[in-house]
Amino acid sequence: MNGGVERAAEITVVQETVTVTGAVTRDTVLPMFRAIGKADLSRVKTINLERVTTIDSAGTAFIDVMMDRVPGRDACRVIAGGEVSEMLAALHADAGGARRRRRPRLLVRARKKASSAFSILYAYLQLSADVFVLAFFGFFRKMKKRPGATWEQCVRIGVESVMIIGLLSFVIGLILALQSAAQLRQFGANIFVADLLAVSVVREMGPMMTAIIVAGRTGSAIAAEVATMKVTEEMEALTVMGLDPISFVVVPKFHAITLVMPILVTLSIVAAILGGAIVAVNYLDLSPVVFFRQAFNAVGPEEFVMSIVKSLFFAWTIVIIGSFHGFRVTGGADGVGRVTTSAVVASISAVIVIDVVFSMLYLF
Amino acid sequence: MASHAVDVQSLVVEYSGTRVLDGVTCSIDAQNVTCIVGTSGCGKTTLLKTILQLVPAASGSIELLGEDVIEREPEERAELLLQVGVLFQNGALLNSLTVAENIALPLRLHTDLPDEVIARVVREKLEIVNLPGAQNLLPPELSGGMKKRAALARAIVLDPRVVFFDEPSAGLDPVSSARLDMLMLSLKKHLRMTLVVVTHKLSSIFTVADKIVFLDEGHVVFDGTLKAARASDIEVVAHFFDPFEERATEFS
Ligand SMILES: Nc1ncnc2c1ncn2[C@@H]1O[C@H](COP(=O)(O)OP(=O)(O)O)[C@@H](O)[C@H]1O
Ligand SMILES: [Mg+2]
Repeated sequence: MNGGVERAAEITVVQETVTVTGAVTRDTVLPMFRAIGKADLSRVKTINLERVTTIDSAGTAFIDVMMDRVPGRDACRVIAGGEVSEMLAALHADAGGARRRRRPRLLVRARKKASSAFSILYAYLQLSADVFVLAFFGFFRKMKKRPGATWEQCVRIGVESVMIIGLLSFVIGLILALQSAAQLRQFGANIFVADLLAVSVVREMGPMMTAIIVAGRTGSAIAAEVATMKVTEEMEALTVMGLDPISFVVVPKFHAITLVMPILVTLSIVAAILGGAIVAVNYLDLSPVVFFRQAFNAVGPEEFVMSIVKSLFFAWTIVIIGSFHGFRVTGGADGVGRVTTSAVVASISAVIVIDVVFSMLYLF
Repeated sequence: MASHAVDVQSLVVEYSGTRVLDGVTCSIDAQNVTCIVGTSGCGKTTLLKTILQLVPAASGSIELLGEDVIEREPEERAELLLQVGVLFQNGALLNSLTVAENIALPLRLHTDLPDEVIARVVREKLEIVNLPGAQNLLPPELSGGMKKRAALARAIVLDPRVVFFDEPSAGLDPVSSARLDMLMLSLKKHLRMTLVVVTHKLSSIFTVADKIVFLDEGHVVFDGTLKAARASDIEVVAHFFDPFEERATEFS
């Protein structure tokens, strides 16, 4: 796999002369680059490339970098055989011995377009499997994605949703408390507004509100981005360059949403309970201390954890459905709009279905 | 080494039942420029993408640089594709990355070159495509012609042996288009690359082509030198190379 005998290259610095021998290619440059980092080039006047067998554009770039480090670059003499000097001039190389790093053998295979309901389900499951496997491997090894991509996605998904989620959750908390306060007052059960609010917000409203907002903002953005990249042939360009589109485009979003969703849900819960507290204090004449103590006692930590787990399922579903619809785009720009809409509708529906499943789990 | 960079035998390609390529047989000589020509919608892009296995073949065989691409496992194919560069119709630069990051992407993926050397390679490639200093621009900030040149720099960054071009001059002004033609000739001459160019721009064909593969209704109707193509008496081919003749007689 390593191109057989990797015709090694060597670099030696003797006083005024740097001698490079062998194949100076993208596969052999790194050790030589390290060597010149340690070597003393301050007296070098000649670079001898006579015994270089092949050179590619990484090789010529390396020679160029080296010449920059030689004092008086212009005075430096480069000796090269006819062939190499020709290659130097043309920046050409024999690209035959290309070596590459091993890629993990994964489930990635041709993602065929599906049409029947069954094959759509199959394609959907296949995409989910690919995303999960790639996301898992991507966590432990430096996968083929852009450095900083996950962080950038965190900012995009998280920071930009903070305001809207906080605000809407606060208002929902307020409304929930107001509606129930009117009822509870009739029975003199004012204090139970805290229980009611805590339970409904932690179990339902927090994860649900967050998921719906994230589906609307991030799910649609993912579908649009994937679809646009598909329409503009960027996905095919990635494939041709040996990059898996899922690793490169979907996995950073998957990682980011996994990190951000619990924070957003927590924020939503806190904001809603604060909204409720305002009503409780001003309208039901409860003291804040009593309200919060009652609220804390109403839900245990395990319920909070359960909510976070649930919200992660929401989040993953949103990413997978968004990219699934994105990959299914046909046509041009109008197709992008269509799949974006269908991605949002599908992911909100899926969130509700998953919520039903979790509600049944609560029963047991 | 095979003298044919690409060998396509009886290739059939279908899109959900509709046959687009119906038994295409053609070959592409190494270190030559071959133009794939035909009216729009005749399947030129499809042929190109099938050679790269971005579109599956229904039947037939494709040899790329002496290897059967259809039979290959995806990983082996990915390795083979390292020796291939592709210039997609609109460049297909990744919009979220700068020009330099786009060009450096294949190097970062497939080599362990230090950043300083990568930056130098990127600079050299940008000079080759006559786009010096564009490193930090984002693709949306480039004009159509600049995008194509930047994409070409990315396509040749790993010194590929074969480069595929999908309608490189579509949407370009005459000056940019002529420049791109010159660039192609220089890639062939100085870097000894094999070029496969899908185009229907006559001026470009006359400038760059060594060989013509003419597609019509899913078949290859002509496969030969440019000279032979211009002398051909096959109706669609003759008409393509002299589109005004018929009209002229019509109006005279
Ligand atoms: N992804 C696709 N799905 C279905 N049909 C397609 C697809 N891509 C291309 N076609 C059809 O295949 C035919 C050939 O397309 P194409 O290869 O793009 O033509 P050309 O590049 O020669 O203009 C056209 O009729 C087009 O409508
Ligand atoms: Mg086309």
